[in-house]
Amino acid sequence: MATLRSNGCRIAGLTCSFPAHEVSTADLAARLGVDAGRVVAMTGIERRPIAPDTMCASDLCFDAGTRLLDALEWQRDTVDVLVFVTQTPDYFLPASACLLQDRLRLATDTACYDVNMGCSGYVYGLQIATSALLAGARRALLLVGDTSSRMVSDQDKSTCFLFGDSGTATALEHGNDDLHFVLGTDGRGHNHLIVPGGHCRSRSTPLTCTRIEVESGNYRSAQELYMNGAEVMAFALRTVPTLFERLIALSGICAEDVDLLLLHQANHFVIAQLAKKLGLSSDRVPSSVRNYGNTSCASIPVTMETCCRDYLSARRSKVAMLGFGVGWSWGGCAGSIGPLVMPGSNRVVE
Amino acid sequence: MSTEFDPIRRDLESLLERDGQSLSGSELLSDIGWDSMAVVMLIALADQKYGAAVPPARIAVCQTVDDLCAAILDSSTSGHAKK
Repeated sequence: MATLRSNGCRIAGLTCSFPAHEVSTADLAARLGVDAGRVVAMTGIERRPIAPDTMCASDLCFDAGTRLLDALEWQRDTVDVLVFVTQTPDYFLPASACLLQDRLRLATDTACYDVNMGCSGYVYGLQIATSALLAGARRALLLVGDTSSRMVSDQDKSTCFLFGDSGTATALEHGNDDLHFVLGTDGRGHNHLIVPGGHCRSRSTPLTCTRIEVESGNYRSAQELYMNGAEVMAFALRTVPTLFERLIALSGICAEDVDLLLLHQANHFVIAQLAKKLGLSSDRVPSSVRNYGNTSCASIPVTMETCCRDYLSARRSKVAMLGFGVGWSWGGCAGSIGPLVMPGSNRVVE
Repeated sequence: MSTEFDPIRRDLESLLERDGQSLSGSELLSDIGWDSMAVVMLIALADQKYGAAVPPARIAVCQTVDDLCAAILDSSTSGHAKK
């Protein structure tokens, strides 16, 4: 695993935006003839924000980014770097970060990146943004969001209850957070969590758009998300404890002193199993899945905003963030952060 | 062998919420409500209670309750259930 350090940066603020529309697990389960109680008991997810067809992750991140820059009173021309982490960009090309530079009225000498990462994406985005700061950038804006629901078949019970849509913004500048990173990849697992069709490897055709029965009672097309939940669980159990152990050793923060362990919010069952395996009490492992579902790359900042806003905005906190999943890819970040400027989440109407 | 499998069968009864109906081991998984959620729960149970990293591909070829028990025992670090 790659171990990296960003000493001399700080997270200045963070916020999230969600689509106004929600879908409840009870309603969807009733439509599919599924026991909602069992789904909620396992996933912990009761409702999820779902973007309408015309709303992209970039729209949600634009809302979050605008509000955060205003709250921080940052002049737009002091942001030298924009990193947009998403798996649901507006277009194949150009990079959505270019569109966001324009919409956010950032200077034309801003360096803009799209980063195609999922569950580990927030940690990777933080590492990229802090590296840019250490290389000379003055300020960085990290936008992280997905409209994963767009990629999921509503007739596939293995995925249709899980994913919520969101956009987040994190502002970074020079400071003294002293962040430590552990990053890793095992591409042998790429086929366990994948949208196999509709891109360059398998171009979009009428066939790739057609839903077929893939398991008993589950229908999806090649252009919709396939997830092997058993492989995801096995991957998480074998990878995350080692990731946490290495992160703790690297950062010098004792596990007992971690105020908040911010896990990727796969679902309640995965979070609970990992918290137990890591030996941390649930009060230090917040979860946002109940009202937001699995928000993909944005799940860590969504949890910081919706579960820890009062805490993180009021004090300096020792945190560890662990992202893991699609790729397989994983990343951990630990350090002391805050107090953060957190203007509060927003619901975006189409 | 049945002695070794007994605690795992009891755990599977609990996992499958059998409401007091015991498992003999010969039951076909297709007859007892075995589904993808149960597979995920089994992987967690095997890891937590038996120290076993059961490959999902191994679970996928199991047909009976005792096939699952054997998969867990074969995958545990000691080959035996933790106390």
